[in-house]
Amino acid sequence: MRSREEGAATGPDRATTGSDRAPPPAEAGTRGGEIPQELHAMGDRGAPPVQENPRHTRYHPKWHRQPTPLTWWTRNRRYRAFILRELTSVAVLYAAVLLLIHLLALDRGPESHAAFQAWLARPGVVAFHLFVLAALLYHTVTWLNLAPQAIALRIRGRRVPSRIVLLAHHFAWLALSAIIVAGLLFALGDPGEAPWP
Amino acid sequence: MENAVDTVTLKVFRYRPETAPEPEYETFEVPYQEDWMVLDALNHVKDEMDGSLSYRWSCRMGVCGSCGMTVNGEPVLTCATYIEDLLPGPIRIDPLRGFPVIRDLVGDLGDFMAKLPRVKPWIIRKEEEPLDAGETLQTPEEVGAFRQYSMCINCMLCYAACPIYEMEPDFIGPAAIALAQRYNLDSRDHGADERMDVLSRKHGVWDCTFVGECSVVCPKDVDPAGAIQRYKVTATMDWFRSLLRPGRSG
Amino acid sequence: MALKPPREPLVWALFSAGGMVAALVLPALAGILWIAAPLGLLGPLDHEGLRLLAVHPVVRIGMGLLLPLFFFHWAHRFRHTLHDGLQLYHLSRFIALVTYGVALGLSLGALWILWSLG
Ligand code: SF4
Ligand code: FES
Repeated sequence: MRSREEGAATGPDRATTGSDRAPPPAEAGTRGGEIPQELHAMGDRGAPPVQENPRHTRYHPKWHRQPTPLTWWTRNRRYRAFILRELTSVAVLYAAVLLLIHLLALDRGPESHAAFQAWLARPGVVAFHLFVLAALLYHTVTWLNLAPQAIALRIRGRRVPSRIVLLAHHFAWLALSAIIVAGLLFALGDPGEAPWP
Repeated sequence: MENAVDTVTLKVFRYRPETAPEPEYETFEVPYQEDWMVLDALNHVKDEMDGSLSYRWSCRMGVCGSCGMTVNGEPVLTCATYIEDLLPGPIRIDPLRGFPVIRDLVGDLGDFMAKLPRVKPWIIRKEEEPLDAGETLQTPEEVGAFRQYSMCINCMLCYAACPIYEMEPDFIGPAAIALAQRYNLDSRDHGADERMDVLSRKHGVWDCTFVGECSVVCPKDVDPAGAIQRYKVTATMDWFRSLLRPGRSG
Repeated sequence: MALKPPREPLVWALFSAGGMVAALVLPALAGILWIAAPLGLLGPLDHEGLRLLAVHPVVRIGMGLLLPLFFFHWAHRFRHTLHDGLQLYHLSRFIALVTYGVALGLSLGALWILWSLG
């Protein structure tokens, strides 16, 4: 292991020359003229220099670059799961806006709230909201599942196993959901009385 | 051929710029043995059928990291991928995605070679200690903090798996960030600030959207995706801290 | 001076915080408020009880924190979906300005509404 680490440390060192995006003036002068030996990727065999800018390889006459298809995210199952995960942000936006509308309807008085409830109860709207709920749940599950990969908890020098981090997140989700559900049921269920101070 | 159990069809990506301006697929019918890897089949093609086929390999045991190719659409080490697992075939072999193809299955990795030193993957000390101060010892915990990230063999499978790198070649990429993290987490290292300058800039960690595919394909369980997300957390905390201390901002 | 998109650490922090709270609270809220209640699964609704809950200072302040986070969560994620998913790299700045701009507008609107409730 030790020797490999050293290799990783010295190997790139040699490649440093000519690697920076903006070449120092001394190097810039050589552009178009003779290519200094150390810039050759393959020593003295007249090979092209290490590219300063990866975009330039697009125009390298002899190298082949496969363009990325516009639908790259359909390539495999995991890419599809990824793009669905990203699109759940739209459901989050919708839910946030609907929460605000719900608040406004409540604030305007019983009639406006009743009208809003009637709209919510229309079959098409319910179906759409079931779809939104599915997207929100997908967001929750994917988000919580990725959390352990992004969080490296260490307790007394030891990494907390990712399984524990995962369980803690899911537990927090269930607990909070239970609190929200209980609170809403309380508020919704007891007609006439205001249980809030 | 001796001990051959059967034959399998390889569909191999060929690109020969001197004769054909466009790449094409060539089909080979290869007799294989039970324990053959995809690389063995390619070696058979090169030895017995078409010596002009170009590809890289060296150790045949998942250590050197040079035999990465796209097999049936997935970036893999061909020396560690059983033919048996891909039957009945045909097996399609392409060069690694995201790298310009020089010839056949050989990509140009110069871009990574240019990016790697930018993250300074070596131990940086504030002050060099004299040799007679002895070794800098580390506890098993201190080694454990970075060990996983030091397993990288620079096989470039993670770059090939990353759609962002493919589309945005300026992105510094998974392995480079994982290696930066390997040195950041090393108790002997004092270079985290220098690396932060590089990685928090444009085309550093912020290009990443956590597709996560790099960690799926990594043959060494380096988990570059995790390294990048953790780096984002660190970079964010650094930034907020720099707001509180206006004197020194990055 | 040209408009500049905000700094990445800032928007990433908002995105992450928003994603976390959205993951924790939205399914329960949506399930009860927009599915179970309108379907009549919870019996007759008490408008006044829900209204008092909605205008309670704790809920209002909570909403004032959550809604902007949700908006910025969407902005950051959707920005990248457009940018990478459709390969609109030449529109990078424009997309960032529009998505974060929308999130900022919605957040200010939400705060104003919450302020004037009740
Ligand atoms: S991080 Fe893994 S996939 Fe990427 S180059 Fe290193 S070993 Fe290969
Ligand atoms: S030949 Fe060395 S890793 Fe495959």
